[in-house]
Amino acid sequence: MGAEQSQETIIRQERDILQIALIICLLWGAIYVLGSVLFLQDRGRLIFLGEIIQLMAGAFFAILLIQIYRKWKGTNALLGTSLALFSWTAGQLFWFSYTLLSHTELPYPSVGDLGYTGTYILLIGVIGLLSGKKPRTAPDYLPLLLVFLPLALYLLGQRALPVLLYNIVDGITIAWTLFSLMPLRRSPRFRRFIQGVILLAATDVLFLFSALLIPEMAALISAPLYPLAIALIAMGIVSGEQVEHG
Amino acid sequence: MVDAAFLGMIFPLIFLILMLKGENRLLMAFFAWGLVAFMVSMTLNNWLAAGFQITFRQLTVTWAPLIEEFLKSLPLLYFLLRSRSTRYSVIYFAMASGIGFSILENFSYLLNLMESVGSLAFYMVIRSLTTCLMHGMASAIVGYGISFIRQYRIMVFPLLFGLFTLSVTIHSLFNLYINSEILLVRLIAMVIPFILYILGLMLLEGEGLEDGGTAL
Repeated sequence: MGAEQSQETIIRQERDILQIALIICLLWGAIYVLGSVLFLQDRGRLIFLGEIIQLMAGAFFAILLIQIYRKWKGTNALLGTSLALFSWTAGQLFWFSYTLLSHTELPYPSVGDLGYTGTYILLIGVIGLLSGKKPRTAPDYLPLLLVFLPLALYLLGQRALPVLLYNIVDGITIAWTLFSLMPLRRSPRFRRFIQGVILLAATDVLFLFSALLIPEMAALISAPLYPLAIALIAMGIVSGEQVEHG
Repeated sequence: MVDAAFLGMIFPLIFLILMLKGENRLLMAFFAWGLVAFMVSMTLNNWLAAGFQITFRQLTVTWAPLIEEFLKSLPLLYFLLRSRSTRYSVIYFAMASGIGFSILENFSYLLNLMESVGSLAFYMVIRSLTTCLMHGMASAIVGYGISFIRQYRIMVFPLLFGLFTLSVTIHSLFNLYINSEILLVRLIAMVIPFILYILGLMLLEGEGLEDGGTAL
């Protein structure tokens, strides 16, 4: 009885931490948007600050999920999500470090983008686990094409070949992630997780488009959204897995 | 010169591998593969640098990690097809490949600095504690994924590719930091392998990640 109670207390503590972190991310997003409007001329500093916060959020949630995974044991989706967030943080750290150390723009595509793409690939695995799909089930590719086609048509012929190829790979990975979410869409258990993945994908697509249309604003537009998306993913997976575990 | 060092190591190792049995043989074979992987990746890196006018930064930060991590991890695919379980975790085999790679890399750096005055012992100690550990841990990340896949038979391709991209990103980050002109950044680079090592221990502690059957 005592052990059960202490286990429940631990779970509640972790949930509280995640909820507080989610609220902080939400507040940060609101403050950042307000700051962007008021201090637009100081864009460089705002972007720098945004990058640091994104980095901290990624590392914080990835480490927190690893800790929860260690305590709960056997929740593979939790480990997969943590690894996905680690991949995202590594990509972010690479991007941030490269621009800071070499004082130049990071070439696109780069190894940093590999980290971002790895996030989606790992999330596809996690979603597969959550939806209880059999690994050998043949997917229906039609909805995937419908999601990706407008993006591919827009990007086609706009940039150099490596950029075009990477955009296609990235677009497919994002679309595939959203596509694999479909069996989960009516599950209230993973509502927050789904919201987080959709927000992450939407922010990436927004970044991709704004990088093409208004490159100087791309990082500023996406900066308040990434921490929120990551917080929702972390909160969502813990809430969903808690039902099974608790 | 490096090719001579490679030959001087690989032939005695082949004799040892032939003599050993079971998983000890496999472990040494993975170590030997690490040496082969270094030779192949060095050739590919040199070819890329010469043929495509790639700068040193581009090579170390982008291409070398991709090529090296791919080659080091390549024989681990064997564990996806092998039906029998192994006594040792796949992570050990992955690390053996990474460490084999880094030992020959150490030799290549040593041979390049042969003309320099004074002892290179301290330099080698630092390299062994940082770069060697990084190579071992980057391969171990992919090895961990494969152990996981074999144990639970889940997320085969997402885990494989996702952890491969993660190991490449970490390797690139390490190369970026270690080649920085700022001392503090170089020191951070030296800490990265230890952080990975501690995270790995944290993850494996009490988990008992023993090897299961085939994943495919």
